[in-house]
Amino acid sequence: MLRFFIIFLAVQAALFGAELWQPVQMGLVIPWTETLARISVVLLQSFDPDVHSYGVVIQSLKNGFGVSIQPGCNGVEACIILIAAMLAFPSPWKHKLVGIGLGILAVQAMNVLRVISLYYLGQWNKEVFEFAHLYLWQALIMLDVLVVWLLWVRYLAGHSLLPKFGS
Amino acid sequence: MNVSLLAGFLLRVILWLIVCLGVWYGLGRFLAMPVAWLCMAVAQTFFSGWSEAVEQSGTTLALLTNLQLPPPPGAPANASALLTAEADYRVIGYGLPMLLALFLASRPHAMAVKMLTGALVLLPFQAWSIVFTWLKQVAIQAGPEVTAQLQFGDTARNLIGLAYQFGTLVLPPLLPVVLWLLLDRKLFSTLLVEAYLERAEPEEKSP
Repeated sequence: MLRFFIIFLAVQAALFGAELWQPVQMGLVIPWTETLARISVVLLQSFDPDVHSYGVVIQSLKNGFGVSIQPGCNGVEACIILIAAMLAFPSPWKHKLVGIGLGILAVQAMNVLRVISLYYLGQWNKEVFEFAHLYLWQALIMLDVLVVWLLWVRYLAGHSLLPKFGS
Repeated sequence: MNVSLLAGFLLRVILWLIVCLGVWYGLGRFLAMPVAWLCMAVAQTFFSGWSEAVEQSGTTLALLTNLQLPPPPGAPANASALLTAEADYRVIGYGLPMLLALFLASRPHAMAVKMLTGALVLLPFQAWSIVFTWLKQVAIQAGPEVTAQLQFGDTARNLIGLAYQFGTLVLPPLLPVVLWLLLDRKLFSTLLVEAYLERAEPEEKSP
């Protein structure tokens, strides 16, 4: 348990520090955030043609309302936590990498749902938008990370891929 | 794979989360009080030279300083203003309802004690988030006239920025999950045992 937490914290600190590094921001985080905005708009346009994106902003052409995807809303921190938890948990490397790949997909899929829901909540009611944005979705994204990690650990256990502790 | 245990847990957590968030939101100004006291102790201990007091207004915690702000354009030459840094408890405090929802969904033994323990453990981390939100405003955002009055170098400002980001983006959602895993391993153990048993059953049946 102690080993898990030490590796978990170390990996997280390293990845979080790297995320804030300017070259990583410019080369990875901001391009990803813009891609997230484009993915959200492509999905939105399937039933709402009055929406477009520029940079990290999603905007309604009908009423001008827009949401900007800021740090903390692009799912990167949640992915960092998931990666750290999977790397720290004793398991074969192949399964770590597959788990990380599928886990990031699951977290980002949930994040697209967050962005889309906030886009509409913001047009409907400012207070509900603030509540969902600042508190509810923050918690739900982390619950998503927890569930993905638990499913992954359960898969490992079900396929006898966990190390044997003790004699 | 039978995921009903996890699905049921997740559903209960979401339902309890909505309830707990609503109650927590309503009680925000009371729940912010112990965090304000801790922040005041930190301010008095570590930056007593330029901090004057901590004031609470609703869920907003304000650090009053004796740092001089430059007069705004058009103000009289003898006008002066002092910097006040502000942080909202709610923005960093939602880990508490999250933790309570996790416990209410998993129903561990001695749940009340674990809830209280978890809530107490969260307090210093919430104070961390508030203090570094203040420090970010003072050392990074307030401008060169204010930072010149302090002893923060570039390294210190970078560390403040890092600690602020960590304290607002990572700690609030992560800590309740970590505390729950530490204080209640029943669900985690049950998941593992269930998975082992599912694998063992077909092997036992085979000749």
